[in-house]
Amino acid sequence: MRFPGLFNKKEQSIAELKMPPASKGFYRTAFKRLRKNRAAMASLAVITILVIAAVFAPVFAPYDPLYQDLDNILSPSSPQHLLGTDDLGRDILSRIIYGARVSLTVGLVAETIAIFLGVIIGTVAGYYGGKIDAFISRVMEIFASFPQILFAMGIMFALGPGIINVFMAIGFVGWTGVARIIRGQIMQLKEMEYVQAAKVAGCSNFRIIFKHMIPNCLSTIIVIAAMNIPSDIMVEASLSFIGLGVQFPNPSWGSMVNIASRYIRIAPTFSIYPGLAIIITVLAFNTLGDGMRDALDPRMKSGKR
Amino acid sequence: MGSPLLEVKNLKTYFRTEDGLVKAVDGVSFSLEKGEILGIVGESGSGKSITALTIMGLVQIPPGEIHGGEILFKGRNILALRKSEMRKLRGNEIGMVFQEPMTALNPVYTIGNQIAEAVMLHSDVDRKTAMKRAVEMLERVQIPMAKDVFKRYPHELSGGMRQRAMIAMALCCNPELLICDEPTTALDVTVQAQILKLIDSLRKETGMSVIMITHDLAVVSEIAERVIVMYAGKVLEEGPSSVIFDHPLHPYTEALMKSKPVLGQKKERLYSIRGMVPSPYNRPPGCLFEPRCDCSMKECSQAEPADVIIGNRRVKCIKYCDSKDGNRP
Amino acid sequence: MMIKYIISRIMQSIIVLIGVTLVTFILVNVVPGDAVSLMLAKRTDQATMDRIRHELGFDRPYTEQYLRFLGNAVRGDFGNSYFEKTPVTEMILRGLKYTVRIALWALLLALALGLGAGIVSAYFHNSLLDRVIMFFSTLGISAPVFWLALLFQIFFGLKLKVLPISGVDKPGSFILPVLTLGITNAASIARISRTSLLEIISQDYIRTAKAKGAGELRVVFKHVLKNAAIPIVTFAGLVVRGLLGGSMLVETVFSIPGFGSLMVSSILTRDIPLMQGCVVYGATIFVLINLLVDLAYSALDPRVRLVKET
Repeated sequence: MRFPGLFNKKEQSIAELKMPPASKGFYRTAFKRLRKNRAAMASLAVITILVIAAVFAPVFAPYDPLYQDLDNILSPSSPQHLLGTDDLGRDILSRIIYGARVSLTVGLVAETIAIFLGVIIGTVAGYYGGKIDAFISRVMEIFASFPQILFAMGIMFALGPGIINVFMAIGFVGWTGVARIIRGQIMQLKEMEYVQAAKVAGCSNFRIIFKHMIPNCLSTIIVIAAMNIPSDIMVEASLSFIGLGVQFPNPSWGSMVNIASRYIRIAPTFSIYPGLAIIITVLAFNTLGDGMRDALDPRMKSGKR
Repeated sequence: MGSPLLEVKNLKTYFRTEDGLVKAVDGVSFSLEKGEILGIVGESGSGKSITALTIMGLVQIPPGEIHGGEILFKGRNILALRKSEMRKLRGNEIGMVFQEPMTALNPVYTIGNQIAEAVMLHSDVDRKTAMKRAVEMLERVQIPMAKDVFKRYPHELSGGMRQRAMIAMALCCNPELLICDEPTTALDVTVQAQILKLIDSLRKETGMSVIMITHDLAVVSEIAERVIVMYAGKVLEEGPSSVIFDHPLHPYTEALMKSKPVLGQKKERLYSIRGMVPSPYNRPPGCLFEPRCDCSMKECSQAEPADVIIGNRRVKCIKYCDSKDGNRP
Repeated sequence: MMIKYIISRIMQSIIVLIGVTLVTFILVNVVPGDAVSLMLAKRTDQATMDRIRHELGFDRPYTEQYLRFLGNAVRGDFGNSYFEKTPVTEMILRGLKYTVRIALWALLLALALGLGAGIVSAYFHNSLLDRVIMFFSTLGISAPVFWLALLFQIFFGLKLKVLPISGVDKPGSFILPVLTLGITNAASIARISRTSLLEIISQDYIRTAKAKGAGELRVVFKHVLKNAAIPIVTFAGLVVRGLLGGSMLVETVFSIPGFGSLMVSSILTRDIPLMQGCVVYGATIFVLINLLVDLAYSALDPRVRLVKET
């Protein structure tokens, strides 16, 4: 239960403004709050297991993901193949374990690209304002006019399929959302007294931005990343499902569902397992993201999807 | 003196939070006569606003809980009232003005709409009459061009105008008690004086009683007849405003007076009370002000001092407990 | 004041649309190698490729190509689909008939379900019911649309055999696509409406309304909902964008010849004229919806400035 927001509102907000959020104590209390959140901690455990499974995939996977057991094609689950086999006789469990590598790296790499571009562009727009800001804002609006997946498809069309291109496509699509939020925050920070003071003291713009402003956006950046990773994983799965993502024969959960969709009459369970892998992963990241948002910035709105 | 309009007896409002129990209001007692203005002074977090919200029945339960005490309004204990009965009281017999007129007014409705709503909630009139009444009220709080302001949205008005509109809203049903929670804090100094003057003249006109909550001593000394000083959920001192600030009894009141800049008096350095308000989760066992008090004694930290009545004043400090039995009221 | 705002918003939309055509054009033209050889996947000889390149105007300078593309786009002319040999606009309009129908019903379902769940969740917030609703909402936003579509096919189509699983001509063939899109979007609407309702409930003016003596229902219906509508309307714009993106996946699964599957197949077959048409039409629809959302927003919120600042 949260303390009622019914009194002391003004004092609270002032106290928050005065407190430089980059202080260590801020993150310590945020972490304490996160640790109390049982759903978030359970999600963290799930993600840890996923990461371990992905890193040590050869250890955990019973088969090579490309090995074809031609005697067992589209077989249901059996002691030999716990989750059955696909249309080429490959072990589904092994392919799901290897598939975690794709999903997790997409989440990590694509979001890093998006954050990197978004923070830089958003900061420039927010800090310099004026014509630069107007231009960047228009560009962001143009990017925001496409459904995310369509735009990623367009980039995949231009670059051709492949995992590196998936990273690029999702990263390039994701930066606008980051930039918009960072721009807003930088514009607020710019009016803060300590930034004004740094300016009066003759700090260079570069120093003000990197020393005084970006560290103060850090908690926002963490929250954005935590909230965006699951949707990045989803976009990759969708691209691979359509056939524009990770290419045959590499295992990706999305493309596995795609193949399975052709066999729902003969092997309905085939489509269920890779989908379950996606939903569990995305759910874990979403729940952890919610927890981190609540812990770091209870007032930030969830504006996702 | 007849029976008082409002009598608060040993009121306790607590909040259950993740980190423990917060005793926001802890045994507050005071009374208010008809037509009187009572000032409640204290730092932020002293529990003065929660006292007001408890009287209004606006403390959210949970996490809040009324732990004990009575609030007698015209002899009735309003803590025991049912929700619907309390609702009839709110805005009708007791009006309230809040601190921040910008956020306290609904941004998506016009001023007139919001005042007319208050009128219609408590009287059986049609929309037209209610709107006429709203314009009247706006005129009464000295808003120029009331008919025009009626149609405006809160963000289109200045802070002072918004606060006048708030007052008009609180008074449109002729309440017998008006609670003002820091009504001037968010306003410019010149506007502050106007608003205070307005409240005072409206009180004289209607004969209502006023509770004026503020942390600004100047406001209280200007308008209130009697003052209570709150600290960490308790009343430390009570007395007529004419004497309480010139001759404070409690060391806390004294310290408050010393830390206030006085116009025309050149002081070397402004006094500041050392230390901080004790954490609401971890209150000292004895006098709550003891850790910051300049004249604390050994006994102060042992037990909470009792209230001592001295003439028409009341103080909670061991200095005035002349004998071991004290002077319990 | 209002008119000035509307005009400036329309001007902005036009600039955005011009930007969209530019981005589309660049995307097609930065294709490594070149668009035509990619499109034909090197299935023909050089002479044919040159001929096609000339036919599509890819041998002209970029600026000329772009201006021509823009000029034609304004008139709604994107040429013929390379593989179907039918005008792109005609194909798109045919596809939109299905897509709009599905999307509208899905939007309706999503709003009804999502707002209902969000309001209930906020009202009983921190209760068990709230937690259950929020768990299912988070589950809903975590479920891949295409996978949910498959599950519905397996369950309703193959197990229960009550609904058709593909095509558009059998009775009830729209039910599963609408359900899939509606449910996933309802989940995100439920989350956002709960958050915004809770935020508004804690505002000072809600306390003022209570101090006036307004009852609970009156506080909710007069003071909370109108304020909550502002963020929810903004979010509805995003939902429509999500529906457009989701329709590509859902139409693929259910083999519906709508706008979404047209877009997918144009990219998969590298049908450049069709793809350009799809993108520009899609973006136009989206920009129009954004415009509508902003106008609705300014009607709801008297505070909207003449020119948006943020």
